[in-house]
Amino acid sequence: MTLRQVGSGILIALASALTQCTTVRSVSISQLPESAARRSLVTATASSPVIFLIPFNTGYLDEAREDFVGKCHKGAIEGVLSKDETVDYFLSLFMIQRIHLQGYCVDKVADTRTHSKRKG
Amino acid sequence: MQLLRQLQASILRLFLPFIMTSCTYTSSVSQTNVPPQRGHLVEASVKKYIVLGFNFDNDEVLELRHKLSEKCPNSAIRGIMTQDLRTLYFLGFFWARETHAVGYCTGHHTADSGEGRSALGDEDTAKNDLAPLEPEISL
Repeated sequence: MTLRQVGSGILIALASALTQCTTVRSVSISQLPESAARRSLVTATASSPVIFLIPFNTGYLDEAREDFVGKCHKGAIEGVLSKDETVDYFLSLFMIQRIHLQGYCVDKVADTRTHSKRKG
Repeated sequence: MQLLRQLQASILRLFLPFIMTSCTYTSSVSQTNVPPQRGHLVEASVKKYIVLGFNFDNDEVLELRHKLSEKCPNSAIRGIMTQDLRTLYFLGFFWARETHAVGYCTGHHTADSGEGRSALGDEDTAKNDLAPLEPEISL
């Protein structure tokens, strides 16, 4: 085996290692607010690396939720999209579990005013 | 012969922690609308142990809603995050399926003022609790 062949082998292995495959495991969307209330978008993402099938951050879901809720202190969050996915690297020996939350921060006072205007 | 025994003991010591360790993976997650009143967090979970993959029903999941509603009997629960988790033990021969729900009991701090209560009355809410479990929208 020549040095060039070894180099090619290493290059192929590196290319495989750097390639990622993303798979969605679950998605959900909750009830959307009225279009006028869809102005302020809040997002939160958290992940957990999994190396040789050993997960290293099992609390990532709570982290994502706390981060998400913390981005909209006074209002409600509606139209929440939650996406749970995995990113596999190098024959799944290295993997990332990732949760992505996205929703509209709705000012409930403004929302009530809109309703009362409509009623009036 | 003694060397072989020492080798066996070393291998066992090396792999035993890996065999006994449990690893938790997420199967699915969902999050509903988050309310502005986030004073009181309530959570509930159901768990089932499965040996060698033999599992004949998932009925324990249906108890989750009842367990969660018991934690907040007179008010609405909003902003519910549901996590479906799988924990593997002993090289995956034995595992646990856990469904965990956490949400905000909206009427906990505002029960006197009546704010944060469900649009439905308590009686209607109780009836609604008995309705079949349906996600809001699931893709």
